[in-house]
Amino acid sequence: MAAQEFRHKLEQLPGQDKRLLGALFAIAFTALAVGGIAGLVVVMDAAGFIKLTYQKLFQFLTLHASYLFYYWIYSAEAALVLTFILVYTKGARLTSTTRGVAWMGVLLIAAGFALNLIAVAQGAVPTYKAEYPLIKQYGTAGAMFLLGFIMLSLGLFLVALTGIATAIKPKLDGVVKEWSSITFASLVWMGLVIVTTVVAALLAYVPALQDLLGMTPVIKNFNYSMSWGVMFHNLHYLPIMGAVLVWYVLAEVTTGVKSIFGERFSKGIFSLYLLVVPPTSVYHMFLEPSVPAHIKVVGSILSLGVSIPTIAVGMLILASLHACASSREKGALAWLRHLPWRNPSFSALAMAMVSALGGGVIANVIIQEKFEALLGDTFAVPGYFHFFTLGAVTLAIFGILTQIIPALTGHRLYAPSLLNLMPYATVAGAYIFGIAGVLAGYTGVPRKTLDFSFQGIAPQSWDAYMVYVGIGGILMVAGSAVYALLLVLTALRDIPSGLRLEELPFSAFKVEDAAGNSPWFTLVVVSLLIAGVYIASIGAYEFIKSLPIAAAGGGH
Amino acid sequence: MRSLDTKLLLLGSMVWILMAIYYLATDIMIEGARVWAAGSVIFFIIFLSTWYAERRGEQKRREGEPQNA
Repeated sequence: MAAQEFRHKLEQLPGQDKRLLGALFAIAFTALAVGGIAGLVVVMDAAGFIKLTYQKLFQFLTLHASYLFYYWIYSAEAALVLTFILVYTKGARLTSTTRGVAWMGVLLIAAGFALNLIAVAQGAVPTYKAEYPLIKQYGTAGAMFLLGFIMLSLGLFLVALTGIATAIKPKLDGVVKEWSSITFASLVWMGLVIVTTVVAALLAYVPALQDLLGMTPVIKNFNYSMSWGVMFHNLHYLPIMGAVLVWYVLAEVTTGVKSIFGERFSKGIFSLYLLVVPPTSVYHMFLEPSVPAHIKVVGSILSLGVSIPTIAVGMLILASLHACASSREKGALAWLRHLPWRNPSFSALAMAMVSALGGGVIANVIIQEKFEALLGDTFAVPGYFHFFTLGAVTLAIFGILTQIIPALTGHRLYAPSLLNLMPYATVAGAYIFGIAGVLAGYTGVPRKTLDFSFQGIAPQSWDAYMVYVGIGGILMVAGSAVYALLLVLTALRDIPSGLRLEELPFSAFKVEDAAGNSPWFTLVVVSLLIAGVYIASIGAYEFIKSLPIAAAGGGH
Repeated sequence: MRSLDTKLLLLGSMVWILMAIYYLATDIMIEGARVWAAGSVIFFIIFLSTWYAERRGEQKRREGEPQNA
């Protein structure tokens, strides 16, 4: 589906559906504002630019983690995936019943949003994990915090239920025999949301809330940490799966490129997410003494499967772009000139993939059993995951919203040239933040405390790394804040100086353009990724080995 | 079962149930086993709904009564 058809289908959506999607996007952007401002404060404190009390700092950290990871990403992706089902499934439409169910979901998400905010204002600072029984110390505020997450889970469940019913109905009506690969992937995403919310999340949060309120938990002897770990394992696939689905759509609406390998191949690739979620879960238990060593070894091998679907979709898009663009001009890099670099949606897509590449290299180092045990609680973790949460995921969401918001509102896109620069600034920030953060983690900077001085006995190198973390963090927030602000302005006002979507650069490739062109560039990128993982693993090992061993403490 | 959609959904739910059995058999994490088992049921329900919808849709097409979007 090329840009024009995508826009046309969005414009044709009934006003009630536009309002529903708009409400979800509004929650997402409000969460982005709350979490983004909180993140800026946290990173400035971590870098030593400002100094807050411990309590205040953890309030900001809790807001940053909870509102960006849970409310921004999941609300935005739920709205996007529902949009894809409506746009890419012939005959799909919301009925008054499904629309009502989705609205209930939206209201529950909004109520959870408010409850979490009130709980943090009242002093509950359990970060995104809401660790139990630690959260008991916050009393009512702690209960309110857990209830907020329960409402968010139920809300997402209802939106996902709506999406699945909307996708299946055209098959029941005899309108559709086979879904498009995008509808199929959307359905799998919605299915994973259901498992994560009504099963995994409720198995963690409900018994904890019952126990906190003095009731008998529905599960006897429940283990919150393990239950939360399983939920989080499911949960952290969803943003990246949603993002690569957005990449796939973005490639088509900005260049006209469809997969050169065909719809069935794409569907098979997307189904890999469904297949790898459970088997890769063992890597969360590397530190569990009860898990036998041989299972940890199997888990370490299986953990490498975590990134396979994401790499596969990324390579599929890259191969299709390369093969089609080569029809205009051959040459090692000449084909790149024919991609729409002045289109902010395409820049967001390209930078999201560049960010995922950096994050992928580091993630595949940290996820190995021996490194996980060493680095799992260090700043290396926030260092690498911002490549994904901000670079790969948030930029992708921005990129597709650049197409969706003007189409839904009929407004012109505000300041497209400025918009087009922001993905590059954001990813530059992500790389500075990520590399400095990972190196800081290798030297031992912890991630679960924000006081890095340790009464003056911390190594001096920590300060230097954290200054770069601060600079990168500020650049990331600035780039993404300007992009988000311009999108919100586009949503709210039709500014005459803006650009109509049809005026944005579009490559207009066709699948037939790929004939006879070898997408060798994809092999180069895959080789770089594999070599990067090897080099980064060896580098990490040598770097950590070279550090002086220092110990402080007292014995009996 | 004609479509690739149903085949992949069935395969997915099978992987989830196998993982639930593996976790139970090795006794490494009951919390994981619960979620994989429930997940397999959820994906099996999605598979069954899709399979049924395809059958009914096929019947409607054969009867020449396709519903217009």
